[in-house]
Amino acid sequence: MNNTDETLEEYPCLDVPIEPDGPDEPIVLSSGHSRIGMAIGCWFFALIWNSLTWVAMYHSVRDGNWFVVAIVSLFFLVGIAILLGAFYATLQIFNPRPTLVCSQNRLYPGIEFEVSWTHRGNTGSIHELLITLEGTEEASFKQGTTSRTERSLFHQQTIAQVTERSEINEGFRVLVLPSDTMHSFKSSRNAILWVLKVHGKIAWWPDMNEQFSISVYPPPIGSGR
Amino acid sequence: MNSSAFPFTRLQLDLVVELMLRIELLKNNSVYQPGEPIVGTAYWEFESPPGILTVCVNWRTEGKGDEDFFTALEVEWSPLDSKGKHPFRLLAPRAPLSLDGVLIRICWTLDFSCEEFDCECVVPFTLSYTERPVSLTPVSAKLGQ
Repeated sequence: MNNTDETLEEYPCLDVPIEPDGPDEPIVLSSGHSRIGMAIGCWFFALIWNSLTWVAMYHSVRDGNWFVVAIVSLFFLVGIAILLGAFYATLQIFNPRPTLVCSQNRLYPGIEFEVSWTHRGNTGSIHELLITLEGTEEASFKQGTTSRTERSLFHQQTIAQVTERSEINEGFRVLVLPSDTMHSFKSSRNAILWVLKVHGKIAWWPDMNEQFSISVYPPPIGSGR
Repeated sequence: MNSSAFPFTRLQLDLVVELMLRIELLKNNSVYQPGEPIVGTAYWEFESPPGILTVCVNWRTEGKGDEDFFTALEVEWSPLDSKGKHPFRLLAPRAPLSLDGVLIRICWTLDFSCEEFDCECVVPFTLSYTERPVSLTPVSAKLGQ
């Protein structure tokens, strides 16, 4: 054998979450989206859509082009649906805001941990609270000139389904992540995502829906999991 | 290389070149736990010294989504001989584990390549604690069972 010295390079993979330094402490989970931002986005989109539709409707009626009026009417109906959606998103701003706390930061497949919940705001209107843990595959791909994303739910676990007023306000559950499941993973076009979903049913009002991403880390080397 | 004097077509050349790179792994079943040493020997045989030879530990995604590809480890050397062997010992990465999902598969490979002759030898392996890739079944299918 007559070789020059070999060089070894090891590249860190940023597509897999790595545990933070420091002790394993409880972590307050943050919600994935801003309700106010969502409502503003909906109103902005509704404004643009309806402005264009109204201008098109005005001109087509003025010109007496009834075929175009019929087509624009369809867009007009969609515009009304978008307005209703914006109104719905606005009402959701006033829903109570749940806070979830995980008993530990480092979650691995097969691990047991505790999830506790409280709310900010008035929970009196919620008559049923449902908390679920979901694992989803997500794949994005090009189809023609557009990009599409498909999802497949591979894990769904009800953590809590409560109707008692005191337990809706605050409570906790112990749960176990499946040992034979996949850790979190997110590359540019493919992902394995874990989320805790909170759904509060409210009569005569938009339901409370929030979701909280969690990181499930790959088992540590030598753990044999 | 004088192509007119060379007795192979391009297709035949590809086949011949494939045979010129080879990897032998110490382990038979090609399943490695994270952190376990991947021990093997890379063999090559060319007409002239091949420049830089590289053994990479890669993963790539397959399935519905567009492919993602990543090189986790790379070892390279420059042999002075046209024919030889080079033992290697690489520690299997921690993650991502091999995956067999509905939309996504994550596949690990050892790629032994020679840029000079534009050829490579690919050996798939499984990165897992359980001998098999992590398997994901859709919730709808579980409910139907």
